[in-house]
Amino acid sequence: MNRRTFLSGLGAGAAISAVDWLKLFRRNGGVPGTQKSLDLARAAADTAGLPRFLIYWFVEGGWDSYSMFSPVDTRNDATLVIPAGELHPNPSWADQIYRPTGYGQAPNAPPKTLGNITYGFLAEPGVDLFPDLAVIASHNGNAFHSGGRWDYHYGSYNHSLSAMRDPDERTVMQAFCEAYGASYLMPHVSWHRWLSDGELSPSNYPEGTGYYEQLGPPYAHTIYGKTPNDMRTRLAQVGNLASSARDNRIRSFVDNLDQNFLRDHHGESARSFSSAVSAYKALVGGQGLHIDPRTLFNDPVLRAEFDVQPDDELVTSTSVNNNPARSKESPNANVQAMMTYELMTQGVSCGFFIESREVRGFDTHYSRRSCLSTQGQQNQLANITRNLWSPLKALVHRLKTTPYGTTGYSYWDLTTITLCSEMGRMVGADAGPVLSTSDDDATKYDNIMTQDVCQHWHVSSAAFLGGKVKGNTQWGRVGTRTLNPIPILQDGTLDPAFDPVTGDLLPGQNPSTSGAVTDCGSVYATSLYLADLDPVDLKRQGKGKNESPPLTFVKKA
Amino acid sequence: MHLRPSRQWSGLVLLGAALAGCQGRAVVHTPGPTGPAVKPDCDVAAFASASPADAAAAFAADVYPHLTDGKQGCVACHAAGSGRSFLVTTDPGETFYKARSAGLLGPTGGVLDRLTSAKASTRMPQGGDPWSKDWVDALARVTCMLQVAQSADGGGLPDEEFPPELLLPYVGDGGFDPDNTFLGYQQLRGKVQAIFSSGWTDGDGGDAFAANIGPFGGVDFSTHFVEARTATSDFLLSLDSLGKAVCAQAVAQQSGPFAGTDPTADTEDTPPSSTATLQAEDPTQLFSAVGQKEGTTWDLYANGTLATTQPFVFPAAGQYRLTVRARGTPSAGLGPDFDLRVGSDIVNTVTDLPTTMADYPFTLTLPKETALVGIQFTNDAQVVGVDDRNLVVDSLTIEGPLGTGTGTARETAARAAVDGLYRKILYRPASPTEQADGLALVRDLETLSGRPSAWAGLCEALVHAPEFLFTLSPAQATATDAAVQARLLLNKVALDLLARPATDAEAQQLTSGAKTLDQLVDTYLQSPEFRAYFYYKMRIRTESDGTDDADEPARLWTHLMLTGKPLRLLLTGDFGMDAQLNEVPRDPVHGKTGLLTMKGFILHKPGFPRFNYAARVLEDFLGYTFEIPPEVIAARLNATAASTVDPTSICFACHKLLTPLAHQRLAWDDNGQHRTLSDGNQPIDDTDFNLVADYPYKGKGMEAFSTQAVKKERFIRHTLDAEFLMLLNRPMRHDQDERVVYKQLWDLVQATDGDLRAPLKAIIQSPHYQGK
Repeated sequence: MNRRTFLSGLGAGAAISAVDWLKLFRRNGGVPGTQKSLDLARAAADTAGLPRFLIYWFVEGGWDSYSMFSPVDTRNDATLVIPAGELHPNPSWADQIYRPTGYGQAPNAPPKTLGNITYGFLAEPGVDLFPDLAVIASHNGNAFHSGGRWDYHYGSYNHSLSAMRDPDERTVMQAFCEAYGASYLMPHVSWHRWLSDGELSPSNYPEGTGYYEQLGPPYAHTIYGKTPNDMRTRLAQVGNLASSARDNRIRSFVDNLDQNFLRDHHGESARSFSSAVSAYKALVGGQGLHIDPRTLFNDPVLRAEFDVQPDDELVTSTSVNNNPARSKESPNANVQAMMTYELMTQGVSCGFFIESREVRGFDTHYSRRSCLSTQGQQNQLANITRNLWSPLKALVHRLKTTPYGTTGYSYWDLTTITLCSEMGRMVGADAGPVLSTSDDDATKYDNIMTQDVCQHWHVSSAAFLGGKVKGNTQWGRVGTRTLNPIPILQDGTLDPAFDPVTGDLLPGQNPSTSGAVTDCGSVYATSLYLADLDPVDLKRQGKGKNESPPLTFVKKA
Repeated sequence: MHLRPSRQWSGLVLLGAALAGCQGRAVVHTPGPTGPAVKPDCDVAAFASASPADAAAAFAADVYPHLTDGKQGCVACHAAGSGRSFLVTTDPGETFYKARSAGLLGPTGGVLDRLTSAKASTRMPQGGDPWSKDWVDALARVTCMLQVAQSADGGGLPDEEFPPELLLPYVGDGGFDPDNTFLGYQQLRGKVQAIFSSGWTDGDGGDAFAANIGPFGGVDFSTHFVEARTATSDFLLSLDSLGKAVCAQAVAQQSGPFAGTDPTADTEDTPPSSTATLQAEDPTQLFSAVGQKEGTTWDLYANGTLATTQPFVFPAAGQYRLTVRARGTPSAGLGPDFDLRVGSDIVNTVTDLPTTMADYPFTLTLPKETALVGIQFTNDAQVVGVDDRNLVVDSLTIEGPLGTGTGTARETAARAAVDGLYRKILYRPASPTEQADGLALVRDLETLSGRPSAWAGLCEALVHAPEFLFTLSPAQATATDAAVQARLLLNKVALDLLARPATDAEAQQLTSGAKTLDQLVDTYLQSPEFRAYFYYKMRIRTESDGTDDADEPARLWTHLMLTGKPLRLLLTGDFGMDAQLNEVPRDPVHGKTGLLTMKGFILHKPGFPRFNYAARVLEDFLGYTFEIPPEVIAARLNATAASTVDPTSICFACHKLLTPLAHQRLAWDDNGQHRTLSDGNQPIDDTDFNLVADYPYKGKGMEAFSTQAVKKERFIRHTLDAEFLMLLNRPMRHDQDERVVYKQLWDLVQATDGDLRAPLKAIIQSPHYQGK
C-alpha cells in the first residue's frame, strides 16, 4: 500500500462524517458520535487496484417483510370463522392480522433464529447464506409503485419523478460504474424498465425524466441486459465490428460526420445521440472481444446450477391490475444471475441490477374476502425461492469458488450484493372508516370484505452480502406489537428508548436523538460504501444526490 | 346506496408523531408560540369592486415575498419542476395564475387551508414554524378578492381561458436549442424502404426489422408496448447489421442507391505510359551490396541483388514492361541466371545469358503499388584460375502503365458515384470535399475487402450519419441550395406524418412551386399512409395492447384527425368506431363520453379502490401529474384515519380530483361493462357526491365529467401536446419560450372548432419545428 493509496482510503473513511450521519437522524436533532474507522480505510486499501463488483437484486412489487427479514410472530386471523354479515367480530376487523396461507406450519413456520439472524419463513431457503448476510430489519421502503423503484435507484432526496433529471443525479449503479467501470466493455448491465409499470403514463415521462439511462459518463450509462440471445447477438455485433479493419475504417469516417454534427448541435436529442454514440464507440472501439459470444450462457453445468429452463430465457409481457400491458424485456431472475456471473467473470461488466421478471410479480394485493376464503394471504415462498434464493445461492457459490486471476482473491471478495424490495406488504386493513359511514350494514359488510388487506407497506427490510460485509448480523427489528421498525442508533443497535420486543416507546422515555429507521437512500449509500466508495464525497462531486449516509456498521472491520 | 372506496391503509401505524421536511425525512418541529393562525373569514363587502388583476397585484406585493422567504417560504419544496401541484416560480404573476388555475387560491382546499391546518401532518410549511397571522391574513385577502371577483365576473371559468400569465413575455432562460428528433422504428423502416427499394430481411427471408424491434425501440403491441425515448447504443449496433445487409444487397443487385452505377468499376484513372531507365552504375538509381562498378555497368560477381535504391512507384494498376539490359560471363560453359523481382515476388527468370549485352524485356500486370524492383543473380560459379560466372547489368527500364491512359474519366465517374450515394441516402449532393473523402474511403476499403464491398462500406457509413438518423437533416440549416433546403424539410414532414421520406415527385412539386408546403401537408393528411402512421402513434398514445377493443380509442382519435371533427369529441363523442374508422352508433348509456367509456379504454384502468382510471384520465387528457412526494409518504407513516377528500388532509391535493372522478365512473365496471347495480346488488349512484366543493367536473356520471373537461384549458393544451410529441418528441414548452406558439395554437383551435389538423399544420410551420 503506497502513501497515496492509503490517504485515498483514509479519505474514504473519514468523509463519513457525523454531519452526514446527522442528516439521517435529524428528526431529533441529536449529536451522534464521531468515531471514524481507519481500519475501514485500511481494508479498502488492501484491495486497492483490484476491481469491484456491485449487484443489486431487486424484488419488484414487494416482499412480505414480516415473513422475511423483519419477522414477527402473530395470530393468523384469516383462519377465523366469522359469520357472514358480522360487522363487529372479535378481534375487530381493524385489529385482525392476516398471515400467508399455512402460516405456522412448515414450510411456513413462525420466525426462527439462526446465529444472530432472526428470520421469517420467506428467508428459510436462504439460510445457507446467513454467515455472509447482514440484515437491515429496521427499514422503511417507499410504499408507492415506481416511487419505490425510483428511490432504490437514486437514493433519498427531494425530487420529482417526472422532472427532467439533473446532470448531478446518478442511480446507485451509475455512480458505481462511474467510479469502477471505465475499463469495461459494458460496465453497467440492468434488467429493469422504468415504463414497465402500466400505471405510468408514457406521455408524462419523455426522454430525460423518470429513470434516465444516460446520466454520468457514457460508460456508466445503463445498458439493458435483455435475454441471453440478445446479449450474444449484441456481443457478436461488437466483436465483429471491433475486430474488423474494414469496420474500423468506416467508423473513422462516421466519427468525423458525428463530430461535425455534435459541434453545432446541443439540444436534448443531440445530447442523447452523443451519449449513444459514445456508448456505441466504447463497445466497438476497443481491442475486440476476448470471448466467443456464442459460448456465453450455454454452459450446461452453469445452466444446471442456475436451473435455467427454456421459458426462463424468454421475455414476458403482463397487464397487472388491469393496467396497460408492459414488459421488462428481461429473462427470469435466474437467467439474469447466470448472465451476471458470466459477464462479470469474462471481464465484460462490473455493475448489475437484477430484477424479478414479472411486472409486479410480488404485488400480492388481496381482498379480505379472498384472504378469509383461503385462510391467509397469498404465499410468496415459491415465488421468492424461484426469483431470489435459488439463483442467489448459485451465484454466491460460483463467486466464492472463482478466483480472480492470481490475486489470491475470489470474485466474492470483490463483490457486494444488495437485496432489497420495492416495498413491504400490509397484513390487515382498517375497517373503521367503513363502519363509520351511514351505509346500511350489508353495504358496510361488503365494503369490509372488498378491502385490500395486502396493500403496499413501508415496513420492509434489506440485506447485504459480499466480501466486505459483516455476515451473520442483523440490525434493528420490528416491534411485535407496533409492527413498525424500531429505530437504530448509528452503531446499529436498537434505540434503548423503545421496548426491544414490542417496539413501544418505553414510559417516560424519549426517542434517542441519534436514532432512525433506515431508508432507500441508506441502502444506496451503504452499497457504495461497501464497494469502498465514499457516497458523501461522490455527492459533493456532483455524482449523485442521495442524502442518506451509509450504514458503516455493516462493513467488516 | 352507493359504492364507496374503502380505506386504503390500516391503522397499524404507530410511529411517534413527526413532521416531514421536503426530503421526506423526519425532522424536529418546534411549534410556534401561538400555533397556526386561524383562517380568517372572507369579508365580501370589503372587496366588492375587486378584479382578478387586483388580486394578482395584491398577491405579488403582499404574498409572493413570503412564498420565497428563505426560512418559512414555500419555494424550497415547491419550485418549478418539483412535481408539486402548487408551484412557486420566479415570477409572482405566473405563480398567482398557476395557483389560481389549479384551484389552490379558492376558499377551501387550497394553500390557505394548508397554512392554517390544525393538523401538524398537513400544515405547511412542513418542518417549519407556522406562518404568522399577518402573513396568513395577506393571503386570505387575496383569496377573498379572487373569490369576490370571480363571482362578480360571471364569465368563463379561470381554468377554461387561456392562462393570463402566458400572455406575459417569457423572461426565463431562452437557451433552447433547435429541435430535431431521432428516427423512430417506423420511420427507419420507411426510410430504408424508400432508399433501398426493399425492406430488411434475414437469411431466411424473415422480417429482420421485426426481429430487431427491441433495439430499434419500436412497438408491436404484443411484446413491445412503449417506444424508445432516446437513441441508444443498441440502436446503433443493430444499425450496423441493418446497414451491412441492405447496402450489400443494393451493391450486389445494383439497386436502390446503386441503381445505375457499376460498383465494380475501377475508381482510379490510368496515366499515360511513361519510361524510366535506371542506370546500373549509378548508386542513386540502382544499388547492390555485391559487385562492383565496371564502366557504365555493374558487375555482380557473386550471388546478390541489384535493386532500385528507392521503392519504385507504379502509379496505377495496369501492364508494365520491365527491361533488363545485361550480359554474362560464363563458367563451365554456362552463363548467368537472374530473377526479376517486384517486391518479394519473382516475376520472371532469365537463364544462361550470353556474353553480349542484350535487352531482356518482360511485360506483366501490376497493381497500383510502390515496390522495390530487383535483379537477383542466382547461379554464381567459377573454376579457379579458369573462368568466373558473373552477371553484368547495364540498366533497368520500366515502362508503363502501357497504353494511352484513361485521363480523368474514372475519377470523375467515381466522384459522381459518391455524389449519387449522398443524393440517394442523404438527399443532397456531396460537396467536393465530401466527394474526395468518400472516394478515399472507398479506395481504402477496396484494399481491405474488394471494390463492391468498398462501395457498400460508404453506403454503411452514410446510413450511420446523423443526417440519416435525424428526421431533419442537419444539412438543411447549412445548405445553400434552396431546393435542397426545401427537400430536406419536406423529408422531415413526410417522416413525421407518413413515416417515410418525401418522394422525388413530391419534392419536385415543392421546389417547382407547383405546391406549397402547406398544400403538400394537406395532401399528406389525406393519404392512407398518414392514416396508418397516425393510427400507429395513437395506438401507442392510448396504450393499446393490440386487441380490437383496445384499438377503438386510437380509431376515434385518428377519425377526428382525418375528418377535422372537433377535438372535444375525443371525450364527448356519442358514437363508437368500427375497424374502418367509421362512426357507429353505440348504446345510449355511454352518453357523450367519447373514448372514456370505451371498453378498450376502461379495461386497463381499474376504478375503485385503485383510482387508476381517474388518474390516467386526468394524466392522459388533462395533463395532471400525480406524484407521491416524500411528505405524503411521511404523512402516511403517521396516518390514522383521514378521508381523501378532507380539505385538511394531505391526500386532498390529488384526491380532490381523483375521488370524485372515480365515483363518476362507478356505472362502468373494470371490464368496461355498464351497470346499474353494484356487486352487492345496490343501485349505483355515479354522481360526484359533491365530495369536493371546488371539483371542476361536478355532476352525474362520466358525461358530466367529459362535457366539462373538454372546455378546460388543460384538455386543449394536453391534446396539443400529443401533436407536439408526435412531431417534436416532447411536450410543448407552453409556459416557457413557446407561450406565443401556444397562443397561436389556442386561437386556431377556437377558430376551427377544434380541428386537430389545424394545430398540426401550424406546428409544422413553426420555427421550432423547422429547426430555426
